[in-house]
Amino acid sequence: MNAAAIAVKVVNLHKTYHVNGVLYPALRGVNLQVRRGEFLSIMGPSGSGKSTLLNLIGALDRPTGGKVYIDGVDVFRLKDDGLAEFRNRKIGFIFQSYNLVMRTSVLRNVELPLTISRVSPKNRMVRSMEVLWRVGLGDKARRKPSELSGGEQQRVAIARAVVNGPSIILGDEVTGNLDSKTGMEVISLLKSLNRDLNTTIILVTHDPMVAHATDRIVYLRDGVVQSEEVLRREAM
Amino acid sequence: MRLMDVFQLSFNAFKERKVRSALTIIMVVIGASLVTALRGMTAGTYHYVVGQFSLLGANVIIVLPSSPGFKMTQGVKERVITCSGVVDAVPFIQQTVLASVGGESKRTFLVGIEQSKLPLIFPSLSLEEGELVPSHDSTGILLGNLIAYPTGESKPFATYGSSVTISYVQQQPDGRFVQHKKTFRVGGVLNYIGSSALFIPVDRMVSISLSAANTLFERGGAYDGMFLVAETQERVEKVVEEIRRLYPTNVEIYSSKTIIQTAQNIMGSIRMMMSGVAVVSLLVAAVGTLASLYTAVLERTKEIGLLKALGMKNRFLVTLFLNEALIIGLIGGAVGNIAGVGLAHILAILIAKSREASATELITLGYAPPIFTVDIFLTVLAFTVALSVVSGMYPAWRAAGLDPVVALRKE
Repeated sequence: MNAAAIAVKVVNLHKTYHVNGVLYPALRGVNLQVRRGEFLSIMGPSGSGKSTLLNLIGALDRPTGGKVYIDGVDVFRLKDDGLAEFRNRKIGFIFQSYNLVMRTSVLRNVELPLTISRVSPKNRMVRSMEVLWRVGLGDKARRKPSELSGGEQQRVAIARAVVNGPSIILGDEVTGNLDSKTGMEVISLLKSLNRDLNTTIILVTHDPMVAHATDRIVYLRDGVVQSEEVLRREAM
Repeated sequence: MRLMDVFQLSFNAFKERKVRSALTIIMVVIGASLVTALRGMTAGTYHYVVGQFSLLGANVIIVLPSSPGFKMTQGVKERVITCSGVVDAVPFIQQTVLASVGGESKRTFLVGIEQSKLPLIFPSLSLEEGELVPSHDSTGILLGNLIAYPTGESKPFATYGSSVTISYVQQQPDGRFVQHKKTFRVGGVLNYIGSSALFIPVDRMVSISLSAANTLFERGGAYDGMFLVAETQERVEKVVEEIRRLYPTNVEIYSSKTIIQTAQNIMGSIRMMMSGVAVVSLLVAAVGTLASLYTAVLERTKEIGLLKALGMKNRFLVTLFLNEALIIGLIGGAVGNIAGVGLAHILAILIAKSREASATELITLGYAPPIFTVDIFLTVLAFTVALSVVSGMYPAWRAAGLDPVVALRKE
């Protein structure tokens, strides 16, 4: 595969946690490549290292060993400020519990990444409204998140994740708090964004239905990649 | 991130916890208002005290007996008057008495003095009606303006020509108490000169001739003190030195200058003490601010994790929380300044009222209006803001130091 076509490259990634003086190896040499525009899911039992891997790809944490390249950049060579800026420009996060700021409006929540990257108030409103219409919530921009249903709140979180035009969207159990019908609606929204914007999406999930909606499933076990299942040919 | 956006984010967070923010601000307001009030009051009191003593002629020296065995008599007067630079020596007798007119009585301060010399001692003194009581007159009495026309009362206590009965109680050597009484006729009423804090509180005194006082109080020629009038203000120190040489252990000597210096020293100590109290209350407010912001960091751990995940740099997170501390300091300091002005006026009135009840003391304080200058307000504001921001540093540092992975996981 040509280097420019690779969005994420994980090389021999290790992560060990120290808990009360005891070492817990969460990742023990993960190798992984994700194609630009691919919709990938990571599955595995609890404690297999899925979330740790996602956090490292998202540059939220630093590894004990190994490298992560995003769009060809060796992420962990960046200092803290550089890493923060990198997350802001390149990565969109979606969480299981949405993590919306409840005191402010839907629009302000979506604007947050743009506020952090110094986009002017006028531009950030225009861009946020575009994304909100895209996820079907344009008419609810002035509402507080608490006035929306769980599915709608997750769509706000998705809008926030894509508003800055990131290369990669990372989702951790994004349907975990939703019923299966709403969960699948959220997944179809992600699929359409993946298709229309060619954004790479990596989801960690327990749900086989969600996993089977993606292009490829990577199975983790005890901190290493155990196997892969390709569901759509173009993923290769 | 733009500073304006950081400010807006922190202001929104601040508004969200209205009650706690308000309570924290109240703590700061209490501390700041105390500092403002105390500074205004000490400035006002100092100005008042200095003003009071400046009513005394700048060339006047007060000599008081300081040892129990020493009697200040005519002999002492004759001796000191010969000192070079002394123009005159004016002895006085003073005592707290009950003055009665008709059925009404009030405790007051009686001064027996050669009244023709009063203008030498108090240059601004003048008569509203009548005249000064001559030295040979044993029945005439002169009233201070506030005795004749008490503040807040519609009718005068006594006027020119009224009969005033002076009485006092004296303990006999056998332990019995005997009441002495004598009636005087008001020969004059003084104009108000604004003096209530001097050794002789002119506005609140009644005065009879020195000889009448000597007889009334059975003093046998012993005076309570003496005013010395120096030739000029410049000669005062020389005269003080000479008197000190003549009576090294038996007298206390005060001049306007030394009194003002003493007042300055006392005010300095009071100010130090009061500032201590005020600063402690501000420190309490600072701890309150710290606690409030620290709680905010704990409550918003997940939000801080989110902001970090979205790419907010640590320095902006620090600014976010320091901004909240700044808002607390600014509002607290500004409102504290305003509240302090009110507090100072209320306290000054209360103090004046409580002193009025004991107006017969040698030195009394009247209403000393607090004085505020821009620098008081600015210092209090700057100090409050600085203290709040310092209090916010630890919570801000904690927020910036949070591990985003751990913070996001927090329930």
